[in-house]
Amino acid sequence: MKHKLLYIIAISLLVTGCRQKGDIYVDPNDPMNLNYTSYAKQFDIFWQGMNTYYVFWSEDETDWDDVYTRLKPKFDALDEAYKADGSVPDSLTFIALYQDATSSLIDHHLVLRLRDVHTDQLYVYSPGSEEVKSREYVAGQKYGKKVMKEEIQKCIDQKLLDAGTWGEKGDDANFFGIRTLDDGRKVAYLWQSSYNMLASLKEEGETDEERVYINNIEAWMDMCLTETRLAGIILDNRCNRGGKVADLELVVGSFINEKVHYADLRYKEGPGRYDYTDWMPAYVEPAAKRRDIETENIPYIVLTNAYSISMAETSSEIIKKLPTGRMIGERTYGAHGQLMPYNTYFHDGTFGDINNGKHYVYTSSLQVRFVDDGILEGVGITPTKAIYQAEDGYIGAMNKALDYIKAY
Amino acid sequence: MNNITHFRRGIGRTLGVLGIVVSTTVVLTMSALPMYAQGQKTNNRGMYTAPAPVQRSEIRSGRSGVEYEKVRRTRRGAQYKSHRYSDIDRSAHPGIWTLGATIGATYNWQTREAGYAYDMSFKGGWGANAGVTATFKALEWLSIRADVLFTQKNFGMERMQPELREQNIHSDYMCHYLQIPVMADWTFGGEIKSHIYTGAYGGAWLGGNVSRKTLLVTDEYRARYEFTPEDNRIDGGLVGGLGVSWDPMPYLRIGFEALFYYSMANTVKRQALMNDTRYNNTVVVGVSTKYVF
Repeated sequence: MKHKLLYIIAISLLVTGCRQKGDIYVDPNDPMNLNYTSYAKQFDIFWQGMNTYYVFWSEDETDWDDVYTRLKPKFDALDEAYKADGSVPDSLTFIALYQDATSSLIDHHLVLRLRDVHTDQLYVYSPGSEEVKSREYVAGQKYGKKVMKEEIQKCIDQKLLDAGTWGEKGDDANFFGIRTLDDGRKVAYLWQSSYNMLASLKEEGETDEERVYINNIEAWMDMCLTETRLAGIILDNRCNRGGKVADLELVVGSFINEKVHYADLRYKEGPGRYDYTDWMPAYVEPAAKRRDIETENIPYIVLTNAYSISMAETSSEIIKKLPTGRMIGERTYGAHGQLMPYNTYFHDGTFGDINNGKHYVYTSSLQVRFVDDGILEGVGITPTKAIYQAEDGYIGAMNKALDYIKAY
Repeated sequence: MNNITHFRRGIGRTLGVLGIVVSTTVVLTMSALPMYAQGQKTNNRGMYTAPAPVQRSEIRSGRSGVEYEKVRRTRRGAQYKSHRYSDIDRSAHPGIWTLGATIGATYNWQTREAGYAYDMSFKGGWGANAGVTATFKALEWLSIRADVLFTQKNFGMERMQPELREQNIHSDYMCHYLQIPVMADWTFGGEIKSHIYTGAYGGAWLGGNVSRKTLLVTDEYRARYEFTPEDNRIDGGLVGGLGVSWDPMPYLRIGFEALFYYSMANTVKRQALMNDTRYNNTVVVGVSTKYVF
């Protein structure tokens, strides 16, 4: 009897030592981890931060463990070089190392802001942007607000648009234009550099440009909803850097009768790479003021290019699938993951602090899986009709859209 | 809609397993009754009547004629019979093998390194356990026991930030396991026997459900748990516990027991550089009915 008890006690003691000890996650937001004087430590915190906060591990084929094993000795070498003769890496060397680490990551929202640990020199690197620049149809092309302004003017000069108004608010700009077809029917056209429509509509505007900016949104919405001789709607999402997802209520909700289930979302609920929540459906609800463009058979065309980013892509994807919707232009940027404002609620998304520390990594909080099309992060939305600027210029897509509306 | 389907499937599967267990128990119990009746007197209503008590003098003199009948004397000097149904011919009923069913409740919690996820509070979860149990008696005081069990290892997580607590953000995990414990059953006592179980178990994580309230939806929902490439679905570890059993009638043994399953298999596969440890600890309290061969 005594022997038996001894055996039992011995086994119990043996058991308590059999489980492995877990590693403790390093918090890249902890003030203790924001400042350091070692390149290896900076890489360590960056690696750990991404290991936890990056939301696409389930989709990404990057071997993150291999990244650490491969690159850690190189950062150690930077530290040793500094110890030996006080030398710090030049920008090319420094960025090349982080490029090596992140170039295959699919999140196109990802932007690294890192300071040299000794000189505080700031380096910014966006792997998604590099990927887009390397696309065949993008190489050599110009994109941006200025280019859009010139191209829209060309449209007016070539009578593709009757006239229009150019509004500006801070860094943002927009253009509202009308095209009257030969039969007297009208086309409503809106271009914006970003999405902030709902919030803008609540404002009065301080300068003339701002008032025009706000008025442009109101005028386009008003024309889309009330114009009796409306031939078609054009929403130009080209060179639009994205913004508030809530604007879907205006650009989609105004033209649907039933709520649209456009995607499923999930985020991370734990520090592990695969601690995801379930997929949760995301809907666009019909707006209070709306128009049944399906019954009226009014085409709704969205124009895109490689620099239609984030919300500009999400709205394009939904409009493309509306009964009278069509997407014309280039395959988009590929940054669909949504960013949430309250990062501490999530175990993913943006981390770090560049003002009080030496790293800041801007990255998505939510995975977006489009209904039918799946996760297109890093790939972008493919248009219904592909028109490349390299071949047909900016004006090519506009021409195609108007031809489509005329023939509809 | 999918969630509801998964939920229904989950219930169906659970009920199916329980059905097998309950029917096994009933069949085994029923099959024991006629054998019991053979060696028993019945009254005119067909009810069993208790056998006449064996006289102490008969036992002492060995005149009861029953091989296993013994009188044991405890240290305190009290006497008791080691077997109540002494007038049954035990030569055809050596009681070496038993086979039966067990059913009970589980309470599981995880031991994990939560790291800086300090706003997550993990709690234990109640579940069910059911399965088939068999023993082989090697010695009077030592049997080998093996079970095949459906065991739930459930646990929950709550977020601790005040705003998230207000919204009742939480996840309750229900994890279904198949597990096969093999134990040494150290047996003591007489009419009511005590058992100490020590052994090891192997198992597999079959599936599960999650009931969640997240930040993006207003209502709690329930969905099937989707396995990830980092989930370790192989389980194994040590098991130990205590139990009591008695034979209310020949061929039938009823037991109560409490077992502790100490998993040594991390539910997360080890990454090269970050070992995130999440081990299950499971207490199973249950009742078993066994057919004694």
